[in-house]
Amino acid sequence: MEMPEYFEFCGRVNLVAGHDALEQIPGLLLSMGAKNLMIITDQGVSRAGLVEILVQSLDSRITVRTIQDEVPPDSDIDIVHTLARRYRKNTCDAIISLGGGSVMDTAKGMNILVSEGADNLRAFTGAGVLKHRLKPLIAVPTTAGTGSEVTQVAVIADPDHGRKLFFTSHFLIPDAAVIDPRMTLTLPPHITAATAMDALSHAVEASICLAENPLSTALAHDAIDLIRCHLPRVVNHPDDPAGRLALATAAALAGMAFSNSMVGMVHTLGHAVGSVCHVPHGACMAVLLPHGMTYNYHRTQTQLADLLLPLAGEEIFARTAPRDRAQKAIDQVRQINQGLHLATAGAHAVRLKDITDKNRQILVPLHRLPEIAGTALGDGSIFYNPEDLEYDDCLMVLEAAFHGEPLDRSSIRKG
Amino acid sequence: MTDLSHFLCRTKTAFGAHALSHLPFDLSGMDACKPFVITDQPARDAGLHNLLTAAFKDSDMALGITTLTDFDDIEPLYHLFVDKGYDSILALGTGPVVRTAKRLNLAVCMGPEILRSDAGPQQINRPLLPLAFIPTLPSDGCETTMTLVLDRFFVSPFLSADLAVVTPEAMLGAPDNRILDAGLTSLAVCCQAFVLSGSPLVRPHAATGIRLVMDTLLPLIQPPGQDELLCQKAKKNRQLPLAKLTLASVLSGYIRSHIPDLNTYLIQVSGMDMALALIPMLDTCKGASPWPGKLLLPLTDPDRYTAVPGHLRPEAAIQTIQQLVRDLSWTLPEEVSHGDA
Ligand SMILES: [Fe+2]
Repeated sequence: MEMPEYFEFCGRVNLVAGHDALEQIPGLLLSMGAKNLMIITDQGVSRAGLVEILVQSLDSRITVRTIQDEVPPDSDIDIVHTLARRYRKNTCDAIISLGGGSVMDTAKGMNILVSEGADNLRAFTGAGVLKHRLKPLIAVPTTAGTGSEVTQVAVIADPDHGRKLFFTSHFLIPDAAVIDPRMTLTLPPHITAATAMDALSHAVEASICLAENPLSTALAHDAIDLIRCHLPRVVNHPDDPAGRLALATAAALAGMAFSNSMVGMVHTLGHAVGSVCHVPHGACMAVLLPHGMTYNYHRTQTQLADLLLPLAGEEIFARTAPRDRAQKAIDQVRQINQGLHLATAGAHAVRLKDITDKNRQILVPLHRLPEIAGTALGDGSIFYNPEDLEYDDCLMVLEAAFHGEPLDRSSIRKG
Repeated sequence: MTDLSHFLCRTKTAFGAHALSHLPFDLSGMDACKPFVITDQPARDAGLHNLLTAAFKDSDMALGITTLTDFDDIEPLYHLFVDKGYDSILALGTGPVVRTAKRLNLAVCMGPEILRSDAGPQQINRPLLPLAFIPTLPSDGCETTMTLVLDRFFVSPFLSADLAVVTPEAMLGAPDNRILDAGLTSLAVCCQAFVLSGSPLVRPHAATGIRLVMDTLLPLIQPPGQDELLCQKAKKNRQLPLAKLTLASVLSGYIRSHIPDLNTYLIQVSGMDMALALIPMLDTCKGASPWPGKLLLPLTDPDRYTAVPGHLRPEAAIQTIQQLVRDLSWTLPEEVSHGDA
């Protein structure tokens, strides 16, 4: 078993997963000495009726002091400051974040303020600034992708200064992540597909990036196995609770994996596409993942070959010669994307140029690729990618992803 | 997947060469600046405390070091800790050292009366002082559980160490039978957790523990050559595999409480007995779930796993464990060998 010279692993979250997992929340809160609750969510989740399901799962021992459903799709510092004031005004002593990545990040940011008795979130940016445990925070994800319910990071926009604020600390890991399939049952197929591909990209990158370690890899492989076994069925039968539970669990496992071994160029480029063209994160991940694997092929052949078993299953693994397994793993990701493209009647894009908004407007025009490549160079995940990337490399990968053409391996940098 | 599963491991794991050099940063991240080192005589005699002194040399933290001789009387330790104003504990050693560290932590944070046998039931529902565990040997994994067994039984996630720092440089030498016992105990715990736990988070921890044991245990038990130089080299080369086996012990402690029917399967006198008890356990549950068959993957490798047809995998897993037990028995003195598995 290959071991890195040094690694750290911290998964300090109580992962509660099951068909009636929400009903565990009162017990979890009481065990932390909390009972006065603020629920943070967004309007989409609220409209989908998920807040009611959550509130009904609580019991008389818990008081919901306030429900705040104004979190925007991209969390920003203003809403964090506003919510912190409301938390104090309502004398809450615990938080439930019900939603996707933006809601989770907002809750983490707000928790910093209310726990530290502070008014300015900007004072807590960076790594290792927090020194103490925060207020009890329970994360209930309503998408199965970001893994924010188990990670130690939060990203919050600071529009006044035109930048994103990054926060990293073990104290940001929620006390509990409650995975209940009722929370993802209503996700439409193309969002299910995109978010699952985000989780898949976390698992793949956690397994091949520079900070990979045996525990993260074991979690990542199990996540991939769950996604392979359940994603095709859930996309075709969205109301499959067992499949929903499996996908949400996979997202949490993959989140814990990448929280401990980081992600690489798929996220480097994906973050840049998202920030320049406002493309949903999962859609970028699906398109970019096979290209990122190909770009790193020469440095990560062994790890990629190991991924074939969870990605393709036993039969394909056994009948693929060892020297072909790494490439086969990449082909398998393309095949998963292709299957999702067909199952969603084309809504799941496999090329950057096919990603559209709900009015069928193209989101990533060809002429913006240079700007995206330039933006990517400032993303922190670039440092964990196995192979170096400079501007021309980013542009080359983006162009291949735009046209849906495989990368020419001979033109890839071998640094 | 099962209907409901829970898993919590509060301990951050660090592994590798020079892992101790990260300790000052980790402690300051928990607002600690005056750590109290508790160790035992073997670690002290081997000079392992000097590793910690070196790791903290460039920090502004003052380190107190005490070597335990009496593991029962906590009172002098408690007074020393409180009087000198320490704010965190580093447990350098094995089970008894960690047990003492947990007792001290409880006494300091909850009051010494909590340890009295006639004290009423107490809920530990808030963090104690930062506690780091630096193992010096593979063990049965008791150090990294969330329990403390005195004449009363304490259980809380807050009893777990905040950090487990496994580093080859802190590994003491150990007789083969001790290594064997620790390795087989870890294997048995991890295999049982892999098969019987319903938690999707337990299985990757268990699988990693199993792989570590399968990689290291047999090579470690091979006796080194007689030549002095060769012995020196063998000793040095043993530190990394010993650390890997210790990591397996640490992981097995995290997942130990997730084994149902603990009394039936787990409580055995030795690692060898526990490994032997695995075989009927796997035999009993091989038709009930896919996990006895899937156990073959961490026990072997993807090629061997996929080469065996699915319905034969539980039996192949059992045979792999039997083979390991036979291989290990061969190298051991009569009193710890249990004959054919
Ligand atoms: Fe992502």
